[in-house]
Amino acid sequence: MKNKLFRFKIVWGIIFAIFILAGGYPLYRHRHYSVQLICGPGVTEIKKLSDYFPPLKDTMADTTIFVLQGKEPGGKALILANTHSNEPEGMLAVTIMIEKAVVEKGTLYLIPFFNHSGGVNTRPGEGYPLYFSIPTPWGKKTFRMGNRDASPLDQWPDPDVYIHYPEKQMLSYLDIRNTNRTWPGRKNGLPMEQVTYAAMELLRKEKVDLAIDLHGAETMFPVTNCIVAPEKSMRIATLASLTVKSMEGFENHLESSPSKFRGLSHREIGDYSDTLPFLLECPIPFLDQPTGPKTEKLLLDGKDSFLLSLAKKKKLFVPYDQSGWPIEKRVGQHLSVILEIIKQYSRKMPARAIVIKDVPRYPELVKNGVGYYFSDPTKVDPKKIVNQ
Amino acid sequence: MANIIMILYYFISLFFVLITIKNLIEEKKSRDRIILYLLTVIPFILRLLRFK
Repeated sequence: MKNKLFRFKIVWGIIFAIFILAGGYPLYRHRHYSVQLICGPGVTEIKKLSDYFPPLKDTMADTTIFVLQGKEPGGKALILANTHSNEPEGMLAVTIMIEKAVVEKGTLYLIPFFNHSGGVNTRPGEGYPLYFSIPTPWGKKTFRMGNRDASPLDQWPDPDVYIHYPEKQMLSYLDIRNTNRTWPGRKNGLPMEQVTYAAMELLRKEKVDLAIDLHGAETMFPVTNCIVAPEKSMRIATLASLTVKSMEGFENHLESSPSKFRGLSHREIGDYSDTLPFLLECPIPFLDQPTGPKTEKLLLDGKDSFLLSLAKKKKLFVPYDQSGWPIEKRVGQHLSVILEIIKQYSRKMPARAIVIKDVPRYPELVKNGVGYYFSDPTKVDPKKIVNQ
Repeated sequence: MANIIMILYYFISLFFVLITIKNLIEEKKSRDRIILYLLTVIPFILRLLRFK
């Protein structure tokens, strides 16, 4: 009997060890997987967010900033992607800009993985894929699929109630790890408050004119397919929205930044600096709750039969048909709206103009796809590759 | 403060791993309890290994 029980313990101990390794190792690999970003001809300097706030150095919260400085002085714009790492359209748009954009006048600061800890976090409980791959002419380029919030391995414990600094508004406990609820940040706060504090330091020290935060939202959520802007940015947002609608033919409406909902980039950047903030939302069917399995295919093509039946009942806030909402449309929308905001600002403030060339717009993305704009990392100078 | 709590949590996790494995080794009768100990220890091991 004693021997039998001992054998039982050994056998089941081994089975459970296999469970732990089979379930845990993919998560470990995901956390340590690096995405290869290729610096194009426009990248003039690579910085870290910790350059603006040294306590972030050597932590998972630190992230890379790609600086594209033009030959002529002009205005400055900061573009943030992966504030929510389960909304990767912005990150893909910024990755294309890093590879392709050339700035002739002014300066661009590009942060492809703003909440870096969120980018190495996962959501396996909801069946999210750990990675997604974009087809390119030379093969597939694989990216991490992240989560909305920073990893609890990097910031824990969460408070019972998150009290926003400095406005003291009470928010959900989870939002203390959400870098679109921790603006304008806190110098001696928790890591995600320090991330937004560092970004505010960048905006203040570099005297940045425009900050554009790239997001995506459910098709069943009204704040999607839009530009969210506070009062001070609304004029430029309106001109950009009208122009892309009339010239490029995609829907893009305006949402006013609520003054009583604190912690969001489009509110706090405007209130706590001289920068004009904008937040761009594109529709991501993958994020909707009533869909089929959360597969890589759904993330990329946005096709779902449940959403289609809801669209027929007019329950969605965006146009939706059998063609879904493919990633090239979403990335193209972000790129066109970014370029249009910068163009409208440059018209209004010629002395602070920013002139960018070689960035594809919506029609080109729809025609060529996203992968068309990614270079083969095996065929570029290794010094141009940044692992992030 | 949060960092101190986080470090303490790793020590608490380690304590639960050790006490559960001790109970598992000392269990002489119940197969159900053996499975229960093995199930209980999983989240603590995952945290100690910083998998999740």
